[in-house]
Amino acid sequence: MFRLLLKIRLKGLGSAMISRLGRNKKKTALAGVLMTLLILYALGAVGLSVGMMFHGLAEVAALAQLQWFYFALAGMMMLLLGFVGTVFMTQSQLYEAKDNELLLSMPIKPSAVLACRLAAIGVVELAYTMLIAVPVCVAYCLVMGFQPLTVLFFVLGSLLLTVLALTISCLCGWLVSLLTARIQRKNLLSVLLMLAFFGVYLYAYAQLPTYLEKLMANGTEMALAFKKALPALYYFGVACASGDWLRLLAVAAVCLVPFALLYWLLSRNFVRLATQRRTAPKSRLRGKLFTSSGPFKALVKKEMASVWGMPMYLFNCGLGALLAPVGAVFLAVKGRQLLQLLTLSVQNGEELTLGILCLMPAVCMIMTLFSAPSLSLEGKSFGLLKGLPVKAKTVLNAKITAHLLLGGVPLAVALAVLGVAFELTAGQWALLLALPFSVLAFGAVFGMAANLLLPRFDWVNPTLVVKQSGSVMLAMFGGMFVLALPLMVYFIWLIPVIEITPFLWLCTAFFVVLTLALLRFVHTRGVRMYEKM
Amino acid sequence: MLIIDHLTKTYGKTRAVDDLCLHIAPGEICGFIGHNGAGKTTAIKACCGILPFDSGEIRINGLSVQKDPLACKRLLAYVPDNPDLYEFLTGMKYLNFIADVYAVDSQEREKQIRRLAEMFGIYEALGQNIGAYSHGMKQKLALTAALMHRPKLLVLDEPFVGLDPKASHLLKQEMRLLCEEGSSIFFSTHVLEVAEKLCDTVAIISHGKLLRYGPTEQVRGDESLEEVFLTLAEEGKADV
Repeated sequence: MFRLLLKIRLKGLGSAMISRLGRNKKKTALAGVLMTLLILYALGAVGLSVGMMFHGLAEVAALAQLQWFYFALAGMMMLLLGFVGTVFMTQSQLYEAKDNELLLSMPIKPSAVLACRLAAIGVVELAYTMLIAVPVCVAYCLVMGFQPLTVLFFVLGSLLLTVLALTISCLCGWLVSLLTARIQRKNLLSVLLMLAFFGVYLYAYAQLPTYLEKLMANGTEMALAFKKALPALYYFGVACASGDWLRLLAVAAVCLVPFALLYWLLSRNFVRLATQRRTAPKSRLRGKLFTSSGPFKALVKKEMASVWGMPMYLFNCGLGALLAPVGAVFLAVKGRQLLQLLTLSVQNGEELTLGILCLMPAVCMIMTLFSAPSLSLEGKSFGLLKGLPVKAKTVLNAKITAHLLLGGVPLAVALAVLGVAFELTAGQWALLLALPFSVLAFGAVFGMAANLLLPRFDWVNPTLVVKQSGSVMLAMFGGMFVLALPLMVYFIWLIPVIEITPFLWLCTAFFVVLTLALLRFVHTRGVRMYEKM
Repeated sequence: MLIIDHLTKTYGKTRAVDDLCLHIAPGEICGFIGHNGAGKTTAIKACCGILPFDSGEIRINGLSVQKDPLACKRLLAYVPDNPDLYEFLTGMKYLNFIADVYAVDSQEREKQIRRLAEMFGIYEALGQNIGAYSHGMKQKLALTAALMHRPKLLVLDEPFVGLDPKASHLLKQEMRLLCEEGSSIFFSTHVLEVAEKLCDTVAIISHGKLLRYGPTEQVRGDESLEEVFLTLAEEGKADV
């Protein structure tokens, strides 16, 4: 029974990625190949960035004979990423799963339902662990050479930390579920919690080199502090570095005992948790009740309401938009001196600074993905939308417009902060506005086109569509690739040929042309595809 | 008001609707009866311009659904068999959204929303998110949205499922009222007693083919509609 339930859950997670394109096997196979390539590309990109950072750390750790700290930091990143990646998943897949009551009505032990749900989340948790563990291990072997015992201990320890991350996610997910169930503005609270968790992760990631510097300066004190604050990670680091079985057993105890306790606690309360009514206080009718607008505006408002109404949608697809003003303030406060130094010390310093100012918000806009799952999110109400007296083109344009508005407002704030803080000239202002906004427009139309190509309406939980669907992945990684491509071309071939500013204007033109071409695709083939859905 | 001429819709090799012909006059209520999977929902969705079809013609008030889908959609309202509405909107926002799309002016929308929502007993709940509604409340909201703009053609797929007896009674009254205003209603149902009492005409469909169609009195003859349906269903099975 357990295997059957687990198989169904994993199938659900997997099928969210690849849409079934009717009965056309060719198209389904093509979508499968496309998704595989995208996943490989994404894994490669993330792995490379983590690997490069840890390669540097491994070199410093080897010099200072602090290998244990290298592994402890890797363990911390695994725990944090696993936790941030799955804490809200536990809410939708474990405590508030839509099929809880159906499964509990069947002749299946509640503990089996719980176990299969935990196992499915555990698989996702393991994927997050691997995302850090593999490049960390490769970087270590490149610096220190292949040490079988160290690798074995690291693999075993990573598996144990996955269990610990699962335990923490389940506990926090439980708390989040309890908190959000009883308040009216649950969406706002959920988004704030998501941002807080993600902020902690980003902070820890940004602080990695600082930790090592501090450790080198104050080795013994820092080690003692680390041991006291995070004993599991300390023992994990020491076990990997020294091949000490006793320390690994201690890690196992720290990771497995809380999990066993959590499982015992959840299995005793699972029926109650899964069936409790989550009753927030009832909202009363207030404000201007009968407001009228045109069909297009109504559709845009509906799209925006869907973003505000689904915290997972706002957080996962709006992360870039949320980060743009944060990044701008960070650059204006912390990066200003650095960039001013750059302006003075490098030959093209001023232009390079402008390039960085343009690219930071542009990267954030590529990570803004509201339009990418917007069609799939119609789900079962797609028939309702198709029955309305509005043109397909109007519907698609409304989705694109909502994306532009939701991304455009924080972008405008970010650009205003950057422009004022760095005292730009009129020409620089023009470029600062043109490039990020053209990238935003490209992202909106590209996301829409991706969703028309890879729609998915038969989902049970919208989280899967927002986090893992093919269209979202295509929009994110495809968009990053398109943004990175001209930059790579520039740095490899064009540096001696063209200055940075004219090149950035060319990039803007490139994105405008690409956006117009994609918009034409959406308005012609896209409309026909929509009508056939 | 609604003319379905030789409508055929296939899914792969399966003929979901096979040469269906129906003519529904203004002010008429037509019940569409058939077993599960008979092709009722497919035919209804084709009438509403949601589903493209292979051959035949559907006309609403003289306009072709295929050639002029938007004009047709402006004349009709459709309530699906499952009220999968936008759960992230409040009931009031949903009604305003529908009113905006159908260009219902502020005064008319206020009058209709108040009247219909109070009649179905959901007015006080309109401030809540649709996600918090029960199945019956969602159904009442979907009906309010459909009736609000006084459509010329009301198409309902199993409208009585999930409604309490009082709401069912009120819906029947409202359907009659709409017909008195000159509109037509085409609805599918499994509740044969309702079809027998409410419908001016009934159409019985099996495996995509129309088995019997005409005025209710004529279709049932001396028997009850249930007996007619069961006999036809048995014959249909034998044919297959």
